[in-house]
Amino acid sequence: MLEAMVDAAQQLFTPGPMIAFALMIPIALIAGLMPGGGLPFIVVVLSFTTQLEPYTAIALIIGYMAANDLTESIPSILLGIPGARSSQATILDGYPMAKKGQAGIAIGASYTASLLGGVIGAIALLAVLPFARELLKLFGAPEFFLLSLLGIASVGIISAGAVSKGLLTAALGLFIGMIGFNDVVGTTRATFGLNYLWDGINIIPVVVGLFAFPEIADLVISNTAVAKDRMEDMLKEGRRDTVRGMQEALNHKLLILKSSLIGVFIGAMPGLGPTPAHWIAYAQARQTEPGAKETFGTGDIRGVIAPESANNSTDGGVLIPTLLFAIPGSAPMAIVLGALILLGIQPGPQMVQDHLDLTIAMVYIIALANIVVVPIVLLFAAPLTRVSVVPPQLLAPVVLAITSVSAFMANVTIEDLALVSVFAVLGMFMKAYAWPRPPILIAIVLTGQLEKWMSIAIQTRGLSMLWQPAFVTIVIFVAFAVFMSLRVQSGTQRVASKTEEELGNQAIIGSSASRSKPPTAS
Amino acid sequence: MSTEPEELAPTHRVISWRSPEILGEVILLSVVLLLAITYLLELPGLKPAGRYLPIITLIFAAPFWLIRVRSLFDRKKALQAGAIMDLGFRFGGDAVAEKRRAIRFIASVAALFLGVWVFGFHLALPIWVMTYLFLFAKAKPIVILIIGIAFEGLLLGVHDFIIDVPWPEPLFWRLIGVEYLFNNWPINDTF
Repeated sequence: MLEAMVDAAQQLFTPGPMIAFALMIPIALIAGLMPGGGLPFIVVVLSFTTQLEPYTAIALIIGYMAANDLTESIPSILLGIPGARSSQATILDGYPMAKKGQAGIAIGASYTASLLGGVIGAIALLAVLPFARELLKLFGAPEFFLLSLLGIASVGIISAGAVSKGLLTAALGLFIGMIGFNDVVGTTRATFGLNYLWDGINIIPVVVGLFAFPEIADLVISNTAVAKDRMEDMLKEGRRDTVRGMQEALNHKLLILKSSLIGVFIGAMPGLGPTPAHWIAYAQARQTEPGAKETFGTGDIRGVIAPESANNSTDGGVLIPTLLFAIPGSAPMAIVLGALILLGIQPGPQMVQDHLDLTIAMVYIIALANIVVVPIVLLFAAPLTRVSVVPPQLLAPVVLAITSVSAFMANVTIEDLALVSVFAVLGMFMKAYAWPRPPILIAIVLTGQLEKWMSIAIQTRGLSMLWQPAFVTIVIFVAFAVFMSLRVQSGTQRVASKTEEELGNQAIIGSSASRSKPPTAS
Repeated sequence: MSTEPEELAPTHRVISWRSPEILGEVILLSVVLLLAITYLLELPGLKPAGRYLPIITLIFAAPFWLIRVRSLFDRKKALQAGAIMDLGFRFGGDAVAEKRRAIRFIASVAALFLGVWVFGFHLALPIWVMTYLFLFAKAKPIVILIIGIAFEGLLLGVHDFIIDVPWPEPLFWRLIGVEYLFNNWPINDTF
């Protein structure tokens, strides 16, 4: 373990990965300000990732993920607009603080909490690795096969409001993932006579179509605009008192620790991610902090600290199932999985056995992103906030053009764009009507690994694998995890609506959040 | 304390057959069905190892596909928020304007892809970006020009010079019998 830590540091802290990391930071920060959490831009990062060596690619992609989250709270606090769903709770107290002329304090507190939360998340991931390694040594091909299959199914179950929608999209992902030639089973399937499909479906056009295009469409269709005069006033306020905000946050170390641990724990549960984490952290702070029931929602700094700590600590937590079991906790993590596979690194149980150094490098990058990026964001909060109010009609063609070129780069054929179109139609419909998109991506990414383990398991153990103790233990464990995740999911929806109801939506009045129409499920 | 019975809030809504939600669901279910039938037909010709996963997936998908087909005929949709990893579209109050912007977006993406297929990235992409900025963003001419040049620079600098992308021959160039200029970009030979 120690050897891997040193090795990771020696490989990571070299000019190549560090230059890539530095170049990526401004892109990630700007992308984080866009509605949809910057998913469209990840495709650009992903298309370049394949050309790079693993450490540089990891510095790019994990650094992007970690830094991307950090700008989300700026529009939440200053303008009352959530950059992503995982910064909605921050609005409840951050925006009232800004309206009271305490925007700088809120921003200072938010970023200190984010920094500490991010570092706690990274430490938690590092702490879990030695135990996970020993545990995973007990597993063989049948258990790995089961983990992959249950991983896909559990994300399908959890990520949708309706189980049938989630599991059907997971099955669709498996169908798509099986297209083309598979060297493990030595057969070609469902190519429809097209040479293009012989190599299977590349994940870059899938990500562009399924995720990036619908997000850009959302940007264009909603056409969210913010009054510039209000923004300038808020920016002036935002520049003041940030140091005081940082000091205030440090006075609530225990709250930061508690909220960060909630973030790690929720993030580690398959299929949940930062959204429930930050709501639960907010709700627990409101329940447990002295006098919070009266002051939360009116501009209480603890209402900013709690969700921001939890939001950022999930980065470490969510990597635990992503890397160890190949079960991503969020859509961006599914993209991380895809990026690793493009690099020739198989996520899942093998990751910590064969590529422990790379796994540890991810921990370093998360910590580094938080430590380096937080001061940058504090310094450049004003220009970054201006980016969030660039008219969507100006931003959309630029992002659309860049992502189209990135999609084309997958196989350098015009068919890539046709594939993007197919998945874009699917993605727009799924986004509009609450069909979960992550299970498709996760299933496509995991199909190869699933089939490999299944093939080995059937050859070596046959049907007797079904009665192996480890196999049964995994079934029970995953069933328990899914049950808990569903409880957390329904609890989060209850907490979010109850909190907003109790606070009378006072914090988000006038924000675009109040325009949001919740997705429907059936 | 009020003794009146509380009015129960509706939990479902019934949607019209002409709703885009129905159309989208029909398309999605058809895609799943098409793939399922394809795998089913291919199964006998596959090697044994290649059959396991399609069979598992078919068994796994079938009940959920049937549940969705049934729900399609019911046309009942729950009102509660569901997906937590997804944001949904942020619809506002002006449905007409949103519809217009949606049509404009889809048409412009189609125009971009068609342009790329016919004329290639180097011509279609910067022209498309500049046209979009001119028509819909009402950007200043200098901003439009800078962005257009930046895109041409990106294609020539990064994709041609650094990566040396082998571009597919666009339709127009094939029709006029001229080789796509950017595949033999002299700058690559120079360096």
